[in-house]
Amino acid sequence: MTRIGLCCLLLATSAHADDRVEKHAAQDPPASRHLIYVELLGKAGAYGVGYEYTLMPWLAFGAAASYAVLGDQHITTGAPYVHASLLGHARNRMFGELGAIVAHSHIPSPVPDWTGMTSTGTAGFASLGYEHTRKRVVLRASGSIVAGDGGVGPMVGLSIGARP
Amino acid sequence: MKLAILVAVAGCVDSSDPGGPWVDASTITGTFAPEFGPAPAPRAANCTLRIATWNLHTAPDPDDLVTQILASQQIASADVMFTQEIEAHPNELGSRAQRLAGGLGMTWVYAPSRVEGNGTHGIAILSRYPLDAVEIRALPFVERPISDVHRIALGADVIVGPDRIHVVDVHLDTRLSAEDRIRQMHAAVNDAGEDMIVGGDLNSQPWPWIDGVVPITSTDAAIGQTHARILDDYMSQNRFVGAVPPDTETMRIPVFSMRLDNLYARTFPIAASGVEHVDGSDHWPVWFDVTRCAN
Repeated sequence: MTRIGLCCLLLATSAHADDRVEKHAAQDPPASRHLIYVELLGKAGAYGVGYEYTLMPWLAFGAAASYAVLGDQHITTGAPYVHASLLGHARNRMFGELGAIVAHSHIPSPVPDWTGMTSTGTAGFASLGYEHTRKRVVLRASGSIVAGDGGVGPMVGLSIGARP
Repeated sequence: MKLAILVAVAGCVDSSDPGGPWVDASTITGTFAPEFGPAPAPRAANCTLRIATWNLHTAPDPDDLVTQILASQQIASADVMFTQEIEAHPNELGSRAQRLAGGLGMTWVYAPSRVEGNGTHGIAILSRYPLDAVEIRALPFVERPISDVHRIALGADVIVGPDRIHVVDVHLDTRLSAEDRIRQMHAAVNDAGEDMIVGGDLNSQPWPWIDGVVPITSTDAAIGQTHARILDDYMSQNRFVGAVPPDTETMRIPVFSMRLDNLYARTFPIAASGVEHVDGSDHWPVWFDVTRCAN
């Protein structure tokens, strides 16, 4: 029930922000619905490459993914999510994201008396962030809470993307 | 001097450094020469041994530690105690290991691992039973951008009646990758004999790290592949049984729960175990009782 209430609040606030966005949209050339970006830290782990499709001016769906090798540990991560603009105008916005993380890790053994370790897990995340748009370039910074099979943890992310 | 040479050699190579061999502690001289306590008072050879481990990072006062330990129901009765981050400085009244052991009526061996200020920083084994065959090993050195330091393992035989119980005290590095942590643990246990007890501050933090600098907290939350679980998996594949499960908290840190410390026994059944909330350090001591007579 708490989650449903939070979603309703996000949508209601976003709809309010949407009015202002559309006023700006009348002045600027229409932006592309497609956003391609790269992310440092954040939902896809050490880094991420993402794509986002804008369904409505205040609502988008996206996914980020990465394959990283940290030391010898191989981590594959995928993170689908919903992105909603909460406050602000066309260039500066506060946004929220809700999504899931699926991660797979493999640690090869560096010693003869161990077989290594492989694990797969899932988590959900909720983010609050700031977005700055300049022409086609989109910069974002966000802070998140992640809760999943391994417990609860904080997460911060920085991304830069473009609307082609 | 031998250890100094081993440590110096270890520092010149890359992250695939295998560490050094076990070195007879009595042959090490110079800055890194270990300190040995006198034989303890004679004691009955009990079937059950209580072993504890405690990192004393924020505990510079041995007299206060003695007070805290004696007030603890579980740790006060430890027969053997592994300590980490214990120091010796020439302007103090003896090494901290000596003062702590003296206050508890135990013997000790202190092994410095690095220079700290005008003194040394290292690990120690305190025991109510005599210690023999003391050895020191330089663990694989892992080069990182921030605060990489040399780590050692300290091994000894605890003489309990007719038996020799081989114990190893270790302090693994912080912010290691999972495989480097396994490499350091492997060096401490792989050729130390079948019947043994090993433990210490394993620094088994939850997260994968980018070059030992940035933790990837989101991956840990999704997978839960903490270094405590990874170490337990490695140790169980080598027939060790641990004192406390991986979700046990042994360090006082807000928000995050971490099991940095643990004890493991191979071939010795564990009769009881736990974490004692003793003041004096930013870690909690871990203890277990092992049954010697079942072997």
